[in-house]
Amino acid sequence: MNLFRNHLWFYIFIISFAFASFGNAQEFRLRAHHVYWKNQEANTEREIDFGRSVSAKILGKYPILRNEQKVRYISQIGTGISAQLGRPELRYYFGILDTDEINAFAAPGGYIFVTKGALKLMRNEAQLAGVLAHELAHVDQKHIVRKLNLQGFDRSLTAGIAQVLGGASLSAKIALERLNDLAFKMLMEEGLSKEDEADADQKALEMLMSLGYDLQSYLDYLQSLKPYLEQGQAKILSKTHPTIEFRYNNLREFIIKNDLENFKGKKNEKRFQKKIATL
Amino acid sequence: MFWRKKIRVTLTRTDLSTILEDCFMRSVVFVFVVLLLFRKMAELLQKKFNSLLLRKKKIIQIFVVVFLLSMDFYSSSFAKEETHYIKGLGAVLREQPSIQGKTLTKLPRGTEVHAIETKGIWHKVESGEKQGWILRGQITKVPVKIKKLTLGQKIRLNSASGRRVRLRTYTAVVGVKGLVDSKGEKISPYKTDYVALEWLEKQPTDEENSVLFLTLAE
Repeated sequence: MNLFRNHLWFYIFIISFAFASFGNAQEFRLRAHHVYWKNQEANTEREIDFGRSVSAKILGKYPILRNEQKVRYISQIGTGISAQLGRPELRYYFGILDTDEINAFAAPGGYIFVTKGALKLMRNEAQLAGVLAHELAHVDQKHIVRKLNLQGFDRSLTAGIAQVLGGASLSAKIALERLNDLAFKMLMEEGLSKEDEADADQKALEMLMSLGYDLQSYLDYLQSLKPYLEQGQAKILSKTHPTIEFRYNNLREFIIKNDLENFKGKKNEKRFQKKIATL
Repeated sequence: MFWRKKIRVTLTRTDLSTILEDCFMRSVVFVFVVLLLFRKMAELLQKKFNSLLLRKKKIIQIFVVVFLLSMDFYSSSFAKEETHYIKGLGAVLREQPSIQGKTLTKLPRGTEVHAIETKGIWHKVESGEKQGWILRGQITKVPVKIKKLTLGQKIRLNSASGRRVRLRTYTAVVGVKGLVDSKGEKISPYKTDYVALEWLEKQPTDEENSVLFLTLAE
């Protein structure tokens, strides 16, 4: 007791120091959180930047349809889906490509395009929502970004895209441009893996279900693609996607597995016809 | 410490290594200071303690301090896996894992929920006192930030007078000049159209109205 009284100040000092260190740990945790988010944000920015130049290339290949009403309709459907089921940090853009080819593209960062040919083939809003949801799933799952190996795995962002694309030197820019060309090539020639497409299809169906759209319509749309695949109109689509049989069976499996056979959703045929009538 | 407000951190492997490094440095400094203090104390207390007892006490105290420090760190990195956040607007908590299930409540964007059980595409989650089922597409493990990144809009290629302004980002530069290598040849063989892209980016979108538009009958 005598000892304690004699060296009270030492003990107080030690105890206060210990507490100070806990305070630091707390502060450090905050800091780690902050750094993590800064990285996350930087990565997303780079992803948007990257996707932006990919979509500029898409628009270099196909002209954009400058019809504000029609784009607004597509955008309303797309944004309605993305606001509920997309990545909350992104703003999505939906455009129509003025070409008779049948296809839809998704560039990283939320740039989504549907061709005029594909819209002509569609019969109702559920099919449009399905196609947009499929492309949204590609963006949400970062399929292209992952396939290009810009990110090691899901949340390893500090060593991810920012590091690869962050360089300001010319060589870094060249590397970035090459990656960008690769991404564009992936959309136009090589396509994503079978698994990624199957995953995007399933996610699209899931989104449709959660929005209350008819599921069978999307399957019907896939079937209706069949006659065009061999011809020029959907050549790119057939090159970059797995066969219709594979996709159809994959979705049937998903429907049976999740007990969705009796699910009845809306088709919104009239609204679709009215808005997309004269393309 | 546990009585403080918990901050949830989602950590990656690289983050973890940096944090461990930092923690290690901190504990090294801390132990060094403690050792110094004890040495000073040992001088003072030489008459009252024998050296063996002091050494034992010293070791125990150092261990306790290091343990406490590490515990504080671990408590922050645990308890993260089952926490999810509501991604978007109009997320509905249902009684059964089915779209026909009765609606319990609507959850706003960013709400923290804790996953309890998984069944196919459905997750059973707990939010406050309510428990219910939600679609896996409606939740995310990453804390939700409402702030939208609209990078595209920041970039303006031309000012009113036609002079180039704010060529800050790389894509803007490439958009105007095209990237060239040392021989002056264009690197990318593909054509680009940034004007059309800007037109698209200018089209208005409104999340809440769009969600409403989807729910409206035709």
